[in-house]
Amino acid sequence: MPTYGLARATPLPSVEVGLVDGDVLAGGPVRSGSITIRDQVPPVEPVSVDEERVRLAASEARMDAARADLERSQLIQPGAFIQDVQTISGPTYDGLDRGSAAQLPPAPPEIQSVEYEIEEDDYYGLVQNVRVTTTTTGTTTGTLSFAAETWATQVAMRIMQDRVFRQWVTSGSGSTNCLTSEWAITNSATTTNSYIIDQCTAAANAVWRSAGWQQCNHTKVRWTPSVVAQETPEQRVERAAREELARQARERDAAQRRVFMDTAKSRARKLLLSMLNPMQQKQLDEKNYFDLTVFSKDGSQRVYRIEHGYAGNVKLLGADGQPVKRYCIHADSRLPNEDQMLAQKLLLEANEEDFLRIANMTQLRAA
Amino acid sequence: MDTLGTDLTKQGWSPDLPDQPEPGQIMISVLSGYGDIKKVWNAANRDEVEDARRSFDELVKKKKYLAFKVTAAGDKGEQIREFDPEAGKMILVPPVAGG
Repeated sequence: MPTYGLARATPLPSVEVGLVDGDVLAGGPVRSGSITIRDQVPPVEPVSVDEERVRLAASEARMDAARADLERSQLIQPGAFIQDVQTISGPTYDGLDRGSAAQLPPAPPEIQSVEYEIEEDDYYGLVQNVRVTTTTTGTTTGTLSFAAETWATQVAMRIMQDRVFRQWVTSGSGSTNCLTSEWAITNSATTTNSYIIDQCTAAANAVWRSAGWQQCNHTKVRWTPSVVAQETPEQRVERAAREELARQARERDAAQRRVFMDTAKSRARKLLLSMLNPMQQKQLDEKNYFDLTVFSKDGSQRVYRIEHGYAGNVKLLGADGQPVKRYCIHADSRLPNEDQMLAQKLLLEANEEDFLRIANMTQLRAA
Repeated sequence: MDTLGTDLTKQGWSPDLPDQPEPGQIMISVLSGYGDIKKVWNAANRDEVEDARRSFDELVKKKKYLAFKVTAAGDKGEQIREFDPEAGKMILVPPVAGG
């Protein structure tokens, strides 16, 4: 295996890098394969330590700026709508199921890779910091367009077009049908309307809370702009090494996070069990739910079932033991599910009126 | 995403205390992203009782947490809106909302 020299101020960790036909390194064109970069290889083109430091500092600054840009554009939140893993490369994203290929906005040169990861925390689709502007050009029709503050936001919004706006059904001011990258909208006035979608709490933003969007799973959207292909081999090697270290750091963080979450969950389950009677403990162990008999102020008695989960997991049982109504009520979604279940139990038993007043109810069948 | 309750852990709330208070102790347990985090005070010490009251009021009155006085396993808790130094153990729940 040939060894390729690189000038560096500090040794590189060993890392394997994939190459493709036509790639050029210090030794000339190479064929597909991989190379191993080792510490302390002799430099081919000596670079002073100071120059190297300046160059690396500039590179880090560019990456910091890119990361900051991405962080500012935190628009896809846990439970967002795009299903399946999508890896998108190149200047267009034809890989998506869309009516026509659309050019993405050009990437600022400092941004080399942007990745959106939507964590597995299913709930309603949440979008923040996205401005959707409907601009009517006549008295009856118009187009739906976007305005976003950052490049990363623009990219993510374009990616979302098919997956999100295709499902656009209604808006606060008119109805739309979304079939391609542009949508005819019906609006009786010649106006420009802006909607700031902010955690979907306002009734006017109900379109974002369509039931079809509640079942999204772990989703990753990655966009690699073409600027990556313009890197020099040295830059590519350097980036690969940096990305490998970053990947390892992410894996370490994820592992630590898993341990943390498991510990919290275990602690919450222990507390919940300590608050249940033996029958309920047995139910929870065996069936992942427990039943709760609540004596209402009017003297009646109702049986609720609290299933494992935190949203829509409380059921009112009928005389036949089957669910009649479903209630959705919960505290901050960062609580472990077992703590959510305990909160539901405590409130339901101590203050059923408040529970019923706050919770969203769905009638499942006639009582 | 920040872990819910991190601000409290910086004020001495801990997930690692025993689950039940010892006799003569006041325990407040707050549901958080760590599981429940707790703090105990000496019920016989007036300063500590006042400190417990301040913590309770901060969470329940300012941050709208729900407070429940709890006793034995399986018994229903009692919702309280004022600090009860005789309660023994109280569980505080972050504000709830309809989903």
